[in-house]
Amino acid sequence: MSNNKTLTKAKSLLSGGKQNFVIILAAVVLFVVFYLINPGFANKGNLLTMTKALVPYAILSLGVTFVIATGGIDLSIGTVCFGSAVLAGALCKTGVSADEGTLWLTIPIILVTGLVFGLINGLLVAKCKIAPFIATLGSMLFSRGLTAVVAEAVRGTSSAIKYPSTGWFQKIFTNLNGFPIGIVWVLGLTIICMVVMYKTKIGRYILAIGSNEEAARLSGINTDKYKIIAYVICGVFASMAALFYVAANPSLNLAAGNGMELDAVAGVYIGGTSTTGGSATIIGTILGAMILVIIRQGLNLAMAGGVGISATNITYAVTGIIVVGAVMLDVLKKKNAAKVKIPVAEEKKKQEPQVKA
Amino acid sequence: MKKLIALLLAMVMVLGLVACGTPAEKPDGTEGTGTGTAEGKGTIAVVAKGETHAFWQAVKAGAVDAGKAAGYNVTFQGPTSESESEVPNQRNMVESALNTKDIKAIVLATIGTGFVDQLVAAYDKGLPVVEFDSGLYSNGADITEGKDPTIGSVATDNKKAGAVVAENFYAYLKAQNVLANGYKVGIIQHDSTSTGIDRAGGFKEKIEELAKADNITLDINLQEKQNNAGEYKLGLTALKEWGAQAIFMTNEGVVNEVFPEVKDNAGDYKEILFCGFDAGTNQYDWIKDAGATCALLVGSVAQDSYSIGAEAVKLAIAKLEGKEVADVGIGGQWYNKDNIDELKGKNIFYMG
Repeated sequence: MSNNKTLTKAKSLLSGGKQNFVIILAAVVLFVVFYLINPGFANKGNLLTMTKALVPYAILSLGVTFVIATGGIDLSIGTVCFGSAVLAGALCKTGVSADEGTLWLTIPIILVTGLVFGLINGLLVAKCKIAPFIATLGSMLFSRGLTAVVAEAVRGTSSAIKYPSTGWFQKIFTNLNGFPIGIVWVLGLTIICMVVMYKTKIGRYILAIGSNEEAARLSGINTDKYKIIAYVICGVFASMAALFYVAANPSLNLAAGNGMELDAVAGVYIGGTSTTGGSATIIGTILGAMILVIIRQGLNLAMAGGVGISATNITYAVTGIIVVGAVMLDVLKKKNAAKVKIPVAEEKKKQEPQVKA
Repeated sequence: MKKLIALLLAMVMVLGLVACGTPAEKPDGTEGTGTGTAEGKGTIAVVAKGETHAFWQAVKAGAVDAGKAAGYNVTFQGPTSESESEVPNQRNMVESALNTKDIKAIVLATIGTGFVDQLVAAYDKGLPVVEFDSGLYSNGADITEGKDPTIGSVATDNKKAGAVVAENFYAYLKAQNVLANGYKVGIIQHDSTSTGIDRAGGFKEKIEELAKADNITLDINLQEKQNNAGEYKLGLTALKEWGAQAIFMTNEGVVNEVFPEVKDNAGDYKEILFCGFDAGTNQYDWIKDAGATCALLVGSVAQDSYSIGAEAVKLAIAKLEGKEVADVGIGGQWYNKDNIDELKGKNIFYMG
């Protein structure tokens, strides 16, 4: 009995196991294909680069999974990620040398900025009843513009914000004497997200809202509160991603970062989280982000011969196909599930008149 | 089952795309494969700040030709835009260069910082790195002390390029027999960074030197401006009031503001002779006008992007072959109505 319980517990944590298997298989196939095209793909240096590239996107994806699970979307995560780092860099006067400005202070500023934007999104969606797409489109533009304006006003120039390229910041977030330390953070955050999503009230209520908001509200769940929580989690994760992004890419344009959110959201959909909310897979999200990194760098290496086609543009096209393909799987899955239900419903209908008669 | 079929279909599509892009064929033999079957002495990977813009296409042509001439295979990659948000993409490209089979050297211009690990890896692998165009971003902030793979740089020498304008422009003035003591030459300098200062300075020094050799003293008026929000036009008006007979504009931004003004008030500027810098649609139209409807743009200097690519690869090859290497400064390519179309064909002049 207790064995069964642990088994179901483990199963619920690893929900979407079958789909995860399909994604892992896809990742392996892609890996082998890219290796065959260019054996350099499996070099240690390349694997390290890919691991490091995965980190900020994986964290963005983890956060936005909570919002997608409520049936919403957050388009502002890319600019919140970038903007929080721009804002903190400007306020703390960071530079290429670790001695410039107050580098440590950027961490709380970045996290608080993300929290505030998450809260704004949550309030707009839950309290003002603005459609998530519109609300977060607004905060995407707003966060992008506002942080750049503040940075420009503080520094008197619109030149790029600079963080140090080497130092303790890198040791904590990206490169600990050659070890890609960011991946440890991703693992930790993944476990935390799994526990929150499947084992706490917050996660269950978020999933309930995504599944049927009205039913959730009628059963006594404070839906507004939990929606806001989902957006706040998403905002904080977006700003957390900024720490890892900045450690790896220490020069930032003002008013950039748009486009990152789409990569992150694509990762979530590829991972198998339902586009309409109600079911979410954290592991799938990480795997989805991984697939995107493999494709991006794999195509880069495959195109390294300079065939006159930009690898970046091919990546867009391929990612588009994969996102639609992954969502198609989700739709097929639901369709199959519905097929089973229909006969049961019809039988009931047949029975009903008999009872009346 | 359906799931699997859908997945398989997706895979086939991806493979199809990859296969389309796989550099298996080399129709004209100018581009290497870079992914394994490198011919000759090895591969030199160029990672630029862009790939599609005409400027980079010309850099690429120069790089590929220089490599081919010396028996090296040259690969060329760059992100789709020169924004710092493309740094992760560009880093992936440097990484793929590092992992290319037969890689011998890397030619690099970065759009932001964040290349510490790749530069150390290049050093550890013994791969020389040549900086080109504007080189490593932020004055080598990414360089780890004691593990610096960079061996030299190739870039436009703005002072030299300014002097090229002066030489050609002076020759024209001399041929037209308009020069005399106190001939008034105005300069509209586009900003106060080293680019603006060097271009204006190189022009001024050279044209004064040439005039001195002919026993002529020029009267020079330098208008130093900051941005293109109407300031250049003010500089132009100021020079007209001063009585300028010739004017040098230090970049395309200045030309873009001056040309419409000169065209709209053709009568006021008819007697002034102009020369410029960089390329662009306005310079093309102005040159092609050839003095028909408004003042004459005698000629201009474009950055010699082809030579930047060629010299950068040559520098890498020189290092690989054990020769002494030193930084290379590239002047510019003078163009006027006679050769503008030829340079356009070579992508050195572009409409942008």
